[in-house]
Amino acid sequence: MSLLVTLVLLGLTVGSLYALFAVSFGVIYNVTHIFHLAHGAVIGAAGYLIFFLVSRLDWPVWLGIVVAVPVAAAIGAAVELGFYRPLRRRNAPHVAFFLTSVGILIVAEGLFGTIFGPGTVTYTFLPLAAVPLGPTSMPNANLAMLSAWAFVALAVAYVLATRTGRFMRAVADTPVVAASVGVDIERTYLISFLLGSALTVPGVVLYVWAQGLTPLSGLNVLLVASAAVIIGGRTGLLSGAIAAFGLGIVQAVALVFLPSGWQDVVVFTILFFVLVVRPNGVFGRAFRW
Amino acid sequence: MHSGSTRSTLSRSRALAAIGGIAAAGAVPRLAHAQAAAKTFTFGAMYPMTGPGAEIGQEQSQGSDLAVADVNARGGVAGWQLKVIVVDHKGVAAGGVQAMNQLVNLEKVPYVLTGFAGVTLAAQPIAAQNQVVLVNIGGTSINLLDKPWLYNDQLIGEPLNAPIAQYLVEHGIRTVATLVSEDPLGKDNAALFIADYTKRGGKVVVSETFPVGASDFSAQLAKIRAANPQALYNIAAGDPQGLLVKQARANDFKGLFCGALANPSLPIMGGAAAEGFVTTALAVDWSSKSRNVQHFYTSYKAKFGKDPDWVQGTPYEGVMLLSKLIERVSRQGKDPRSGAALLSALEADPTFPNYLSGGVVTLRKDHGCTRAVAVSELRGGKFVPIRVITPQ
Amino acid sequence: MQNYLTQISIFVSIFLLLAISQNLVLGFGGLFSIVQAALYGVGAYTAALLVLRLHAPFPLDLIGAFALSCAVGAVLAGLLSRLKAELVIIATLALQLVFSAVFRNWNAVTGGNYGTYGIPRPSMFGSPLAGLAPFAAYAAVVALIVFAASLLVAHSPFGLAVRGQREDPVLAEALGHNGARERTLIFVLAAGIAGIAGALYAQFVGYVDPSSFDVNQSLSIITIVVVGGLGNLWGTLGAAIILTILPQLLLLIPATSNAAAQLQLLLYGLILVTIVRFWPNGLIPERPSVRAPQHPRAAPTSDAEGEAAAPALERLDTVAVEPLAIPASAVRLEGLSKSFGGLQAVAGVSLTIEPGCVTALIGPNGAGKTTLFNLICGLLRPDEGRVFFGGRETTNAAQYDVARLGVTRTFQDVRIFPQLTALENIVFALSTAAFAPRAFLRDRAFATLVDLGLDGHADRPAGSLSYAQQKMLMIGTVFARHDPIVFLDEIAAGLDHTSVHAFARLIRRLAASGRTVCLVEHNLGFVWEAADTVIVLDAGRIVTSGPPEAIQADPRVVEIYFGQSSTVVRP
Repeated sequence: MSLLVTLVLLGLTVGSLYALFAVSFGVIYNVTHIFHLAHGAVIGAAGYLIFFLVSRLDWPVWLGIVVAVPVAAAIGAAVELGFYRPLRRRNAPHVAFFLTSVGILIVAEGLFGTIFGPGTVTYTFLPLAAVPLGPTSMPNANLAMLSAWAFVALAVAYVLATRTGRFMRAVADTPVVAASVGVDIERTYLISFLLGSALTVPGVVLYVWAQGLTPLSGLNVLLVASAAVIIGGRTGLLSGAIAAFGLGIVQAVALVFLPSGWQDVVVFTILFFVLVVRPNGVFGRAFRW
Repeated sequence: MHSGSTRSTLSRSRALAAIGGIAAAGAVPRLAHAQAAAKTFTFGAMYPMTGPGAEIGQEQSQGSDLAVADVNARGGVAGWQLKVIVVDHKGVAAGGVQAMNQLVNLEKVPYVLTGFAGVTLAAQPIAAQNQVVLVNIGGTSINLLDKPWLYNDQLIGEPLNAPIAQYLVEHGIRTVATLVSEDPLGKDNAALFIADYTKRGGKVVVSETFPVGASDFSAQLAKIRAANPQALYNIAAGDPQGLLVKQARANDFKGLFCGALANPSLPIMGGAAAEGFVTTALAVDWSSKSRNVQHFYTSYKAKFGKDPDWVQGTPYEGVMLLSKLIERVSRQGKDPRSGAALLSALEADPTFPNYLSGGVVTLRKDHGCTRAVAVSELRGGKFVPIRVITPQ
Repeated sequence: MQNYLTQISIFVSIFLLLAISQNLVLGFGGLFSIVQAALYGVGAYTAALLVLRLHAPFPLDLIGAFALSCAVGAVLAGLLSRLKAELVIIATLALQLVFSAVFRNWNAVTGGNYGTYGIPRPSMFGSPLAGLAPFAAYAAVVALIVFAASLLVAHSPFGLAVRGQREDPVLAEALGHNGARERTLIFVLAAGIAGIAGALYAQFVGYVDPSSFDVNQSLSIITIVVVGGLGNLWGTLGAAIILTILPQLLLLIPATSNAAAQLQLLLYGLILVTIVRFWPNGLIPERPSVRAPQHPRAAPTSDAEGEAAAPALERLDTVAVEPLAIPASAVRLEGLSKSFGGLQAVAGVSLTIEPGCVTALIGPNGAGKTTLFNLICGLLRPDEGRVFFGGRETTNAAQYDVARLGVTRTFQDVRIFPQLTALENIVFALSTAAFAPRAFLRDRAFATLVDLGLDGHADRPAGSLSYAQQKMLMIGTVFARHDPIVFLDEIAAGLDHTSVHAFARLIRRLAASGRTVCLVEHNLGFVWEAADTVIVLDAGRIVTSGPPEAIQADPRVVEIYFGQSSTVVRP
């Protein structure tokens, strides 16, 4: 099997995972326009919570994951209610939201490091194994990443089909008009945070299965997810997902030509130039969820 | 002799030491003896007590503290009681500079123990500028060789890698892939291994690297698997090594893992996937008949209740080296608190006892060391030595 | 212990420089840039390489680091200037990560993860600065020089201009300031300062590796600035000292020293979050760059809020209208059109606004009046048509270029710089005219405030004034500038009957001085009183124009405003 094809297949799986994280971030960012860096804290919290419940307290895996969903959602909502909303009330400058988000991320990083140590923790209850695929094979964790699309589809369906989803689209597009026709902006924001934070859970399970978890994992994932959302264009969930998917493939294929340390450079240089040349993203306003 | 310190807060012991030193310079040994009981020889140690590698810092200071206690219990050396000042370098280069400055400028020590390649490299120019003997008891990097005033009681480069290459060839492994971290630790050792292995007729089919701290190796492993090597040589500091072997197995790699200085966390993080890992390290043999080894082993075990490892052993040796140098310099009638005097004593006879596996450690012209190397295999979660290579 | 403190002082000097750099960009410039750590790294590596490879003597390494960081800053600023504010955060975050990766991987230049080591101490007066105390003194001197220079910049007209464009970039441009250029300049200056910090670091530690210049470092620098107060350099000084010493204290507590690195992170994060939550602009507010003159007066002409309004309005009749030095030009529009998406806001408008009289544009909401103003004054570019000021075409000119032709333009809502004091607001409006000494500008600004009865509030942030006072302040900028051409957008909005009369008289006096005065207005009573010519717009086109009497009687006008079969309401 040609090397390029193998790498592309790998990129597809990693890209699928990125797509899910991009959607979880995008739900919040597109609707509220807050660059919610603290999303990385939610990702980390979800990951460590599952580790703690299953590895330390010996809960069944399914229960740990199921419990993590509302807890993650609650943490995201708490950040919105406890920090962003009061700042909005005071008409705080844009930079205040960003700094708060950064601060929460730093606090989380410090907290995880203090409680669980700076090293890597793994989900030993999800062992890694090779899955033969004809002439080649793939780690089972990577194959599982393809399931991320199921959650992406759920999110997109929710936004397209439900009433709240419609409100979210309206607020994302033109908040002023949405408010004037009676959409409860604050409630819509809250629901975006709940949804986006809940979506981190399947993503983090897949991520930790493959790579393990450190206090910095949340930030690392967030950077790629947010880059994808921006590159894709910030009006749609699918555009972010597709951009993330593309980034995953580009990163994997880049390894054929570049030493591995340059992968970061590739992703973030793309991001920077998209911002400068096409600030509305690669897909611009073409995508509408 | 240190330039006269005009500190107004000289402690009593320091004042006496100063007088003793002046007297000794006047070549009147009797006066020195008369003051013997009150002389303290202060040296420094920089360890990571906080920050990255803090667990190792604790262990290292256990080793040097134990050595100081042992020496002092025997009555000191040449009339000197040893005293160590431990400073935290926080695992980063800037911390190393701060710590070194504190030891050299404030405490005015002539001899410092340290570890961590980056920290040592940052500290070395200060040592050279101030004529302080710096002994590395931990870090491994080619850049640590051939540096004035810096000596390494740690295996660096070729002694760690040639045995692995030899082992592979002996077991009929003809093709190897390398996957190492992108830092001096990974790249230096990989380069040396590749040179040695190819000289013996082996073939390196793929060479890959990963950024320090990475946790996803799937792309590199895909490339490696495509080349289908019989063995995978890998170097990574910390937990990522265990993840790497697990992911390699999950990418259907069925061959042998090997690499210099495997991580202690490898069996824990790697689990069953890490079994059979072949590695090299400073040879450690607690069953050795050497008096020195037994002394160190029982001393440590009695105090801390567990077996020691080379991490505590090399700082112990570093202190023993110092005491040997002090003795030599004192016998010549000179004051041993001079870095220059200690250095010439070291150069005159660059060997000291090996407290880990018996025999001696020899410091070489390139300031590296020659000592017994153990080739070990990971069996049942423990590193079991399968071969020990003793220097002639 | 002494040496320990001396070492800490060196790092305080370095972090002070970094925090100043960040504050200039973020606090003063309003740019959400988090790329300072990368620029710090550029300075460090530059200094290191200059010394190691080119054997550059001190102070060339310091100067070289400053220069290269400025150059990199200039390139980045050029790229970033096209971006909207929210995107600058993300773009600079991306840049920071790119730089970190380059530092780690460009082995030939930076040494990659090996780092660059063996950097010797700088040599001054023949001998290297080997000792701790001498280096600390050198670092402190450098830091203090930069600090003093930054204070000078902060209190200079440039500093005021930068803060103004931070508050309201559109207003700043309308008052003649090239915001993009000012942002670039402050960014470049900040970059250079970060580079100096890097050079000091390289000189002191002697070893430069990528881990000191990563995103975590950028975030620590931001924390210092936020704690000290955005826009307040003295606060930055205090915060730099405290936040450099604080982590050291953690190490002294035995129970926490093992997890000190993680706890320090926790502590920083908590501090940041708490301060931003309760004091979004930092603990210490900005200091104004210019204060009201201290000369003794009888009681100030105004004190409590409510009372300022009434007496001030009476003063409108006594506000001096400066005679024109050169005659004002007419403003001519030819076939101006502008559409937004499918909406045609202005369609083929041609008219001339003559000097020496008051021209009023009226029309229902959405008629395109404000859009027309925006087209004339350079805030928008027309799709078709041309604009002339006198003989000079200004069709595609930027707002600040139009303003510099001698145009003052006000906006529909009360638009002032809220965090600048009342006095600073006027000084800002004056400071593009020519290169005038600060004291002169300050006195002229203060005189305007006295005229308007706002002198008692001169040193208060404009945002804390009442609506009426802010309105007076806006009027103040018009009169302080003495411009020959004046565009006023709904100046009479929100005023009561008496005030409307006073304003109308004022406007007529302006025109009588020979100025070109153009109004957009909804208050028809005001229009009838103040205007010489009235132009009626509807759906982007001119319906009719003429003197107020004619327009009042025109049935088309009535229909446009009130629908069919209504009678005109005369004031």
